[in-house]
Amino acid sequence: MKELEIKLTGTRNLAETVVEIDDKPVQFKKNQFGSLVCRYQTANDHVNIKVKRLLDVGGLWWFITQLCFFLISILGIFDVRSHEKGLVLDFEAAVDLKTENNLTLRLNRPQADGKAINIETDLGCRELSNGYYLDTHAARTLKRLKFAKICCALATIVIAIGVLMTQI
Amino acid sequence: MNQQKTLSTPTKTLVRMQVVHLGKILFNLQFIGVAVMMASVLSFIMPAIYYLMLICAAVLSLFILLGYPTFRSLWAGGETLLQVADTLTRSWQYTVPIVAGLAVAAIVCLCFDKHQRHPARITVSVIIAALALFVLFLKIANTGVFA
Repeated sequence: MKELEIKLTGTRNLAETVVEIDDKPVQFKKNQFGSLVCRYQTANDHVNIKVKRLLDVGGLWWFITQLCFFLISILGIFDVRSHEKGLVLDFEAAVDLKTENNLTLRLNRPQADGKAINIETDLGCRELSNGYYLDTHAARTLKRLKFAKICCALATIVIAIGVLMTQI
Repeated sequence: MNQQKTLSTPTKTLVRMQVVHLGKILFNLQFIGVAVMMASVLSFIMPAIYYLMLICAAVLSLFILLGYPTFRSLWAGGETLLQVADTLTRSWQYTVPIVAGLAVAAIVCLCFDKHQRHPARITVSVIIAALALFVLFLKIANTGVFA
């Protein structure tokens, strides 16, 4: 059995990043130095590594939930700032294994013409895809949400002024 | 950037993300609750500080201020402050349980995050929940059943 140690850096939120080796999702754990490390065992001479990024964007119920969060957090004042832009990370690489196998995947920030992930390893590696892609449906949904939040805020302010004026 | 792929997030993961998001919002909201709770618990101090400040001003001005109608109306205004303090004092029955509820709800929601521990947020929420429960028991012991 060959063991492959993968270190993942550059991501703050592991909930959004899914790493699959030979189409099986793998779990990362923090080591003593605080780095995310995964140890994978296989009998094969090659492995296929895929990295995907999950979007915090959904359908109608997600949309309604976000509006509720906006209202609960007092028109977004106490809400957590969202950095979601609808960008999908698509990375796939085939890696040849040796006796000792160490690989570091360094996630980059979303950028126009650069790579999504930099691979640091002395193993033979063939990149099949490596970049950020815009999910147009998600981007459109996020724009609609922004518009809906502005309308909600204006409606709340108008209603509040109306109630105050009737009381006076 | 290329405009192509659609990758839908699994429903279970999306729900978990929203629960954690709610936990973070509740964590932020509990600080307002704490401010209102402290105001309601310490409201009895407000009139005392107000009158003390007026007395100090009168003494420092060698009691000359006592002749001015503005100073006298400020002194009379303390009655309104007493009423406000009284209303705030009685509001502890609502503010303290709400703060405790917000803190506990924030802790529960944040525990749903499988990948991040949120130690700072959970520690602060535990302290606030403990403080709120302590104040609640003290108030119940002092005043008896909810009036």
